[in-house]
Amino acid sequence: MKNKRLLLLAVLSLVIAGLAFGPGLSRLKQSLTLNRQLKEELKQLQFKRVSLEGIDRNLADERVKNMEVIFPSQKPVVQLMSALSQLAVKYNLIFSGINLQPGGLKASEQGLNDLKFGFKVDGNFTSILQFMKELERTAPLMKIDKISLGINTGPYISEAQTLVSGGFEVNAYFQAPPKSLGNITAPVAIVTPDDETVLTNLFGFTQFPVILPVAQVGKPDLFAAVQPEQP
Amino acid sequence: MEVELVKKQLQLIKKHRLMKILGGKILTGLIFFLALFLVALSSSSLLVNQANQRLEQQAALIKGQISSLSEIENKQTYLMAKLSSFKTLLTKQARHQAIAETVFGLLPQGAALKGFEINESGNIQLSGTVPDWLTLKLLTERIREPRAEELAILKADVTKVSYNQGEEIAFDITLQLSGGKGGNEK
Repeated sequence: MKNKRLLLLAVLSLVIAGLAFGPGLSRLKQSLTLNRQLKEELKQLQFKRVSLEGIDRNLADERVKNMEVIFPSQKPVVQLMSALSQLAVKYNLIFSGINLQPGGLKASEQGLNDLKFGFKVDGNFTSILQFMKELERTAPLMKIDKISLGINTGPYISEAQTLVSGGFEVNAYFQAPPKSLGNITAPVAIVTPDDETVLTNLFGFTQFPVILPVAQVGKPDLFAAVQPEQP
Repeated sequence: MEVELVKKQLQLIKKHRLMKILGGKILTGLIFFLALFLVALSSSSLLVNQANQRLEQQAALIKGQISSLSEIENKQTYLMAKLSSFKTLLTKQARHQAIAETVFGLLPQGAALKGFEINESGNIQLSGTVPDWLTLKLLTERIREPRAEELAILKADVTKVSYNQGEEIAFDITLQLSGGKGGNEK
């Protein structure tokens, strides 16, 4: 009887202690968990800040500009036309028969898109070879997919005069930029020495200025009264 | 006999009193300990909450600093997002360029190349025409001994040569260049 009473008393004490200290202990546990999370978050944020402060602004700026020219975010049709025609002129080649396939676009898993197109160039052997060598080092980034060559020669034609007709099928590439930066605590990607080597390639590409009409051509208002010419 | 009973009763009363005193002391000690525990618990909770507030303030401060660096973060994210694809393209492009230059260098004057394709096993299928047998011989000699700056030809098979009187000689050649599958990078 006495033991039962003692046991009841002990259980009652435990229940009372649990009721009294339970919420307090629970709150402390939550606070400690939050503390650990905050410490971890702070560590990540500090690391991110140091990483961002360590990035050379000018170099990053130059890289982004070059990347956008070499590996654009949008379909680089105008840049392509401009670059190819100017490259052909550089090597005294006749550039013709361009054939674009804008419908053949499909994005890869990485979001990489390609734009297929074909064109013809005519000129001498050396010039076409030089054109071909520089083509893949010209912005926007292109890759020769197929080549067909016709080398026209004769007994009275010297090597320098040999006319070569080159038909090229080329892929140009573009990739849309990321849509968001993600969580603020997300670490900023650090450029590894291997990446640095790849990024140095951004400065080795030939870049031609994009030629676009800037002056308005033609009559601005079709219904304007015609001014008589002054004698 | 009576005296002994009283003595026993007295001992019992004494024992009870001692038990009560001891119980009271234990109860007081327990209450004191629990009060102390409650104070420690509250203090710890308070301290941890204060520490959390400080950490939150520090985090907010650093988030502000990071936000002020968002321009550089944008640029870095942009570069890193494109880097992987760019790297793959450069690697493929270098190989493609070398192949195109090698094929271009193989062709003698007068030859016409209808096209070249690279199949899944890395073999290159060349098809084209030459005006005469001498040019075809020159082509095969160049395949046998390519120029030093070009990729080495590991294997070459002339799969087709067709000739009709008065027409050009058509050829199909399969090449395996170094640096591809089963080949060594030059």
